[in-house]
Amino acid sequence: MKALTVTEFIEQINDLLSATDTFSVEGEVSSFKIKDGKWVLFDLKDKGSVVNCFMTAWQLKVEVEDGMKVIVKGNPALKNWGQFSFNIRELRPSGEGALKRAYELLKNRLTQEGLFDPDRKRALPAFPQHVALITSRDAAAYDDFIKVLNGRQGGLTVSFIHTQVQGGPAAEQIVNAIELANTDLSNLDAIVLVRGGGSMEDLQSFNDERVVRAVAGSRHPIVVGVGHERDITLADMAADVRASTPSNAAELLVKSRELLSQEIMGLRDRLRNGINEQLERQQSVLRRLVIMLRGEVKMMKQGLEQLERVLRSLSPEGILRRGFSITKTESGQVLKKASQVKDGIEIVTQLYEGAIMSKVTKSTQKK
Amino acid sequence: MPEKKKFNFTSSYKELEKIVEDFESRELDLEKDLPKFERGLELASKLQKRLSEIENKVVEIENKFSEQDN
Repeated sequence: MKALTVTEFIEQINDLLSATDTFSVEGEVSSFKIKDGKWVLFDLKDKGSVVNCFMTAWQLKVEVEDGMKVIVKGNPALKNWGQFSFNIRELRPSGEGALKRAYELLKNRLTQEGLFDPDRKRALPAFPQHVALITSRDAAAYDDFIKVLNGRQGGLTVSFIHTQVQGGPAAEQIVNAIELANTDLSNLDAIVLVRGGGSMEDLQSFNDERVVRAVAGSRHPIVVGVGHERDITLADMAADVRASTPSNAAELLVKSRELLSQEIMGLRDRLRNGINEQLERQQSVLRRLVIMLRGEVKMMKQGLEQLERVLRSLSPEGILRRGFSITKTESGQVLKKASQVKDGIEIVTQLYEGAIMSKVTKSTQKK
Repeated sequence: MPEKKKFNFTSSYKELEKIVEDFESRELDLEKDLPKFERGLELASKLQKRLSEIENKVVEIENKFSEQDN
């Protein structure tokens, strides 16, 4: 048997190793480090043994630290320098404790980055008419959301994008759905991402950094309602509006018919009040004008009466009534001077009532 | 893709609000403002009518970026 070169030996061993199925191994991480931002190196150990692990930073989707319990999937290989290495393709925290720790680590990093800052949050449009709904068509969350939405308002268009909401491909599907809603739907007002409650592991997709970043980077305002009241995922924290449940997402998205109807009636009443006030104001102006006119007419009437009295007092009859009289000759000539008469002629003096005939006995001339 | 709605709830609501604010901010001229008043009443009744719609339209969009589905 011809001896192999070392290179050939390692190549053949690697051929043997790559023919095996993918291994899934659970253990505790130690000596974790990321080299040049590209390569992830750590040891996976249990009480009795240790194995060197290697993976690319791109494949690592969760935060990892020493002491964390993880489940890794990959294949073994022999390095050119003879070292045995477990090449990992997938790593996920194992158990609630590890998930919680990974969640806390990612939360801290993204908080520091400012991804959850309140000033990043946008308000939802007042009256959304077209919303994108991202969830699983089989989930209770879908029914809950649609039921509450129908109960509150009608006439909306809901563009529904189905995704898995747990399990391996869920995170990527959700990221793609958010991207699709942002790029492909016209006149979109808001995006709604919902899922019912579950264990931390069930909700893992909503704590996936890719999903959290897609939510934070959405072009349209986004409402996230995952789980029950107590479950707060990182996607919830990155949303513009955080709903406590899928039903609550519908409540936060649209006002109820009753409330809106009241608002519209309120506006209509205010509109009517404006016109009514104006009508009343004009009526009162008119009333004032009428009153003024009446006063004017009364004054004019009084003036006329006085004029009439003056006129009446100036008439001959009026003068006679006041005690003056008119004296005429027999021929009817009105006497204004004593020189108009001679002694002995008869004159007639007209009084207010009746007349007196008299004979001139003497007249005196005005000097 | 949703068809373009003939009636736009948001713009109608805003228009109604604007008419009300305008009316409340100045002296009205009954003759000149009457058409505006009528427009306001029309908007209010259209908005109310829109609220009486019961159904929402659900359109399923294919998540085309996802190769793996279900």
